[in-house]
Order: sequence, then structure tokens, then C-alpha cells
Amino acid sequence: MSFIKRENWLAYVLVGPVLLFYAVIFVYPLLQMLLLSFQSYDFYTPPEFTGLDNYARLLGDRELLAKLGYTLFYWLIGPITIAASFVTALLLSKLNRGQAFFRSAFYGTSMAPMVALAVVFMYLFSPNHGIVNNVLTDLHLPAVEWLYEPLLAKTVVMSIFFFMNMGFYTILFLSGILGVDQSLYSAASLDGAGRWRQVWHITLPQIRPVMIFATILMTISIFQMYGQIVILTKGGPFGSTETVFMYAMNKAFTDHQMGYAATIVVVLSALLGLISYGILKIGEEKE
Amino acid sequence: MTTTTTQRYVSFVLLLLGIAFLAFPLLILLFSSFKPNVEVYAFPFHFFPERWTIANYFSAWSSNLDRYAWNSVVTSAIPTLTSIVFGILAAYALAKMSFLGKGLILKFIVLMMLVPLDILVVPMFQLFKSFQLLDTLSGILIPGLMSAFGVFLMRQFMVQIPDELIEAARIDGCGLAGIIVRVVLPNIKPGIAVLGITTFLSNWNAFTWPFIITSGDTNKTLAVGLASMVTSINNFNPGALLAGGVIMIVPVFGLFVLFQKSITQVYLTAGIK
Repeated sequence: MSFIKRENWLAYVLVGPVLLFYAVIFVYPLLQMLLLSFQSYDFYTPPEFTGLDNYARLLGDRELLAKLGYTLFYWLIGPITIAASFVTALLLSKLNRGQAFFRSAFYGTSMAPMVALAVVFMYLFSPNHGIVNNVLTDLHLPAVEWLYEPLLAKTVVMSIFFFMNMGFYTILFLSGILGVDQSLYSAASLDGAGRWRQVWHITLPQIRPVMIFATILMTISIFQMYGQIVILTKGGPFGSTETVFMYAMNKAFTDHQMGYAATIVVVLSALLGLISYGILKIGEEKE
Repeated sequence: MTTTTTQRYVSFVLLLLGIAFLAFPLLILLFSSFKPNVEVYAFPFHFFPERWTIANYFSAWSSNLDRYAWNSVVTSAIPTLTSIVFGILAAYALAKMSFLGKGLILKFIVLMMLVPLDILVVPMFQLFKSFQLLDTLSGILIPGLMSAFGVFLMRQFMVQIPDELIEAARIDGCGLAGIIVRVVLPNIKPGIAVLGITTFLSNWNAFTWPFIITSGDTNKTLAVGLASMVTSINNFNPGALLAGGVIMIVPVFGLFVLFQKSITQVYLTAGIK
């Protein structure tokens, strides 16, 4: 009995540091953020309690609504990345030689730091003398103001996301595809099911948990895109490449409206939580 | 699925095209970093340098990149070490001991793994400001000191170690430290390699938090320093910037090549980021 007690005590000592860490770095800031969302605070004067003012302001903030629209537009790169990764993973699963090479190569590309990719994309799409315009001119085509055109600028930001993530999701899907019971396929081909029907009726349903996980993970990372936008466009032209998250960061650190910024992030997090829950539910329902 | 030889060839070619596409920006970065400055934006564009030079690397290194690189090493290496050590300790309790609240703690760890800490920058900024940690290396690295993913991954590896092995070591007179060093560590080596690399890389690549809390040049990491160089691309020498990008990638790919076997293996079997 005393042995169990001693082990009990020791376990808490082992888990303690991690729990303490997350209490300080997650739980406390989370509560602080909730509190801030009911306050007005500018760094210099002490926070002032303003009740639901921030939330009321948020509901009438047309600019924020526009940023939400841009964020949802960015979200479109999610299905594109997932589809490309899934097809690549399917192709990979068919190889019996060279699979290890491609696995490493695809995964390797997704390890490249975002900032390094942003450096290249700036070099490629820089409006005055970027390489893409250089090549276009060389081909006697008109140069394009890539980063000064709202839609094109968004597309460039989304491409960086694609390049950063495709390799990782390919490996994720490959792990799912390789885990599918092979006898299901042989049964299906006996029944005369073609290749695409097999993918549709066996592979996809079998890797549903991986798909759900990938969709949620990708949604979260798209909604908090920040670095590539700061570097490439600083949110411009006319704030048309800003996400809700970036809008909140600017409210906090440029306009010094910490309270309102906290409110935006609280609502955004709640929205993200809801969306993730929704994806999970939709995914489970079809089972 | 039965696959014919033709299908294999087609897959192979398509994959080759795919990887060429994905690697293309990185290759442009690499080759253009060896171009002399006059060639970087020269018209028409050439993929390979006409005249190879490593001058960009020297000029990047001497324009603060040495400092940024050192800051990146410090703010990545320390969290890697602490994540591994504390991850192993917590994971051992969660995998091999029974205590009140274990299930709850495990759920909490999984939740921490999924929640992106970046959403908390506003209150964290306030917190770090009150401890005077803004614009310091400690301020940059503290949020990375421990990793819920690390605890989770280490636990996944440890639950596979048979209890009998641990019991036998205990009977032989091993204490907790002895059990961890002699029984646990040899069995979780691939896991440690993966955890080490992922933690190192996530801190090396971290942008949002270091960007927000650094103000001067002294404590910028490579990610933040390079970003501030990009935004002034027109008045900075572009060759050095490209070289900086390569300098940031090299350790990443170095680690990847060294440990790629355990990395792809663990991802393939565990299927987790």
C-alpha cells in the first residue's frame, strides 16, 4: 500500500513540470484573454472594464467581416492541397521501387522554413523586376503586378501555403493508404469494381479518420496564417490579403487596442472550435 | 490493388514531375544565391549562374546574419533539450504508473497538442511584458520549453515496452533513474530522434511569436531577421538575402537527411505531426 502511495507521489513529480508549464503558458493567458476581451487596454494606462462594448463593436465591424471573407477565401487552398496530396499518396502507394526516395523527397520539401519560401516568392513575384515578370517579358507577354492586385496577391500567399504543406499531407495520407486491408481490394476486383470505384468505395472510406484529422489540422493552420502575409504584402493592397488573425494582431500591436484584439481572437477561436467540431461530426455521420 | 507495369511507370513519371514542381522554388533559391548581385535580377533570367560566386554568403554573414543564426541556434537547441527531458519524464508516469487523474491529464496533453499557442500572443505579450521578457532570447524560447506533442509521442513509444522488463530492472535494484536510462531510453531512440528534430525545426521556423516580441536587431532569430531583410528587398543586396534563405534551410535539410529514416518511419506508422 505504501508502495502505491509512493509511486503516486512520484508520478505527480514527473508530470508536474509539464502541467505547470501549460498552466503558465496556456491556462493563465487563456483566462487573461477572456478577461481582456471585456476590457479596454492600451499598454500604458491600466485596463478598464468596459463590459460587452468590445463584443458589440465586433458585431458592427465591417472591416472585420471583410477579413473573415478573405480568410474563408484562403481556406480554398485547403481542399486543393488535400486533393493534390491524396492523389500523390495514391501514386506513391503503387510504386514498389523508389517509394522510399519519393517519400523522403516529398516530406523533405515540407520541411523548408516558411520564411525561406517567402524569400523565394518575393524574388519570383516582386512586382518591378521579379523573376516571373522577367520571364513573361522574355516571352513577350505583359508583366503582371502580382502583389498589388488583391486576387493575385492572395493567390501568391496561398501558393506558399501549398508548397509548405503538400509534402507533409502526402506522407500523412500515404500512411493511411498503406494501412488499408489489401483483401478489401481483391474482393472488390472480383466483384468487377474498376480502379476509380475502388478508390472511391474502399480507400477513401477506409482512411476517413486521417482525412478528418487532415482537414481539421489544415483549417487551423490556414486560419492562423500570418508570417507569409506579413513578409510578402504586409496585408496590402488595401488590406485585401489580411486574415482575421492578422487583423487582430494589427489591432493589438499597431493600434494598441489589446482589449478589442483579445475579443477578436476569442471569437475567432470559438469559430475555429465550432468548425473543427463540425468537420468531426460530418465525418463521423457518413460512417 | 493489382498494379500493372505501365501503371507503375506512369506513376513514377507523374511523381517525378510532382517533386520537381515542389522543389522548384527551393532550387531557384539555391542556384540564384550563387549569382553575383548584378546577375540576380538580370534580364533574361537564367536558372543557373553564369558566373558562380560565394560572395553573397560572406556579405549575408557579415550583415547581422551571424547574430541571427546564433540566436536561432540558442532558441531552438534549448527547447529541444528540455522538451525531450521533460517529455520523457512525464511520459514515463503516463505510460507506466497509475495515479489519480491520469486519464484527465492525458486528455489535457492531447488538447494542448491540438491548440495552436499562437492564438494567445496578446495575453502572452502582456504576461511577458510584466516579467520584462520582451525582446530577449529567453522570451522567445520560453513558450517552446515543453511540448505536449513530445509527451504524447514518448508515451506512444513507452506503452510498447513490456512491464516485465521494467519489473525485472526494479527487482535488480534499479531506481527510477536506472529504469529510465537502462530500460526505457534504449527502446525509444527513434522516438527521441523524431521529437528532437520536430522540436528543433518548429522553433527554428517559428515566426509569429519571435516576430511580435523582438524590436531591436540584437535578439532577432533567422526567421525574423530574414523577414525584415525581405521587406527592404529593394535597397538591400538581393544576393545576400537569397544566401540568407539558403543558410536558414541548410540545418533543416541536414538534420532531415541525417535522421530521415526514423522520421518517415515514425510518421508512416504513427501518422501524427
